[in-house]
Amino acid sequence: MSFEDGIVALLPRLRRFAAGLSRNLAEGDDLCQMTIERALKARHQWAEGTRLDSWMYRIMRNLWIDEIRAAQRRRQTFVEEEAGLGVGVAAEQEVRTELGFVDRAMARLPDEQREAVLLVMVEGYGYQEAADIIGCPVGTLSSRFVRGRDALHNLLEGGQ
Amino acid sequence: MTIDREMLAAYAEGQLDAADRARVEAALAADPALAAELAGHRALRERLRAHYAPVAEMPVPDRLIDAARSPARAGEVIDLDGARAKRAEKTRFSLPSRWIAGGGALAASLALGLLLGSRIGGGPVGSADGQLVAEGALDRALTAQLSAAEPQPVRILLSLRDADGRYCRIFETEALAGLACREEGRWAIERLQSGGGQPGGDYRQAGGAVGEIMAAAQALAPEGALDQREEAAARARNWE
Repeated sequence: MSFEDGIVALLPRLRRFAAGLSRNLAEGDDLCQMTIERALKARHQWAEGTRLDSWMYRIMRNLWIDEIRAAQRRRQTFVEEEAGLGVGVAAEQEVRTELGFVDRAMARLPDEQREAVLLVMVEGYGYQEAADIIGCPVGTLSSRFVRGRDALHNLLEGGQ
Repeated sequence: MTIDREMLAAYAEGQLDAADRARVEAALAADPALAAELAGHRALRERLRAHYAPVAEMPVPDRLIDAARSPARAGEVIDLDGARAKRAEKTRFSLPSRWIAGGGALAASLALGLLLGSRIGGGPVGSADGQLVAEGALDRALTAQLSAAEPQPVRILLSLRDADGRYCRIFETEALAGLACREEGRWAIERLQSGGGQPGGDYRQAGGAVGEIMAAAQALAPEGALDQREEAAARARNWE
């Protein structure tokens, strides 16, 4: 499989992670495209035989952190909390409400807890892989993950 | 021994070695509160996965595939702020011109008057929350039929996704042609013109109603219509 084919095969997962980070599908796709462009430019830095997925996730995550910092410099709200993902599994109103709850709860997590929860619970990475993607020690990842999980649990169980 | 929250989370995520796993399992067997906490963890994981799963199941936009395979065609996203501004601009231009405000408003309202006035046994168009929505056979055709060239009572000419990610479909009956977009589990009628195609005629050559709707569709989705595979996938997800 060529490098390009490898990227294309990862796109559904990369879009999911991007949508989770940015909490917005259209913005997530822009982040996804930037990630692809960066990966193509940096392809010589990818060591064949190592995992392309974690390498791409790391690029995406770092681009996103740059974006958060830039947004903080602009001192503006980055994403409308209410915007949500704009995607649904079904049409029923209850499900839409449900989607709204999860989006809103995720939006309230600190960035470092949200990315830890996304990588472990949604993307299915082990602690070590997730820590490598973020570039932090495993113990840090574990405690961010558990704090994020507890916060989410409280937000969602509290009916909010 | 006590099992702290991090240990239990690590157990739930399969991150423990055999010895720690056995300790957690012994504690779980003895402590219903701990078992409930584990169930809560798993339920949250399922809820999050179900929430994000549709994103990975949607067809990947062509521009992302182009970005990987033929970057020259895809253009470049320099920074997210610029991309956001560009998207806002695009959305402004491609906002569906509501039938009531568009240039064809008069023709559309005449067609509607006829339709709504003659609704015996359920016509093809009704209204809900101030929005025109497809009903009956039209609703069923929009939901169930794939685009087809051969004449049918309701013929779907093509499907597309607009800038907001909504699925829209162009339909044609003997008397009508229109554009319907999926919103809140219904087909909202965005455009409607009287005088659909000629029975058995080729819509590509048909001027008039279908031509105008096609032009509106092109403005909505500059990258073009969904192909057969994308359309079938969208239908399988109930156009959400």
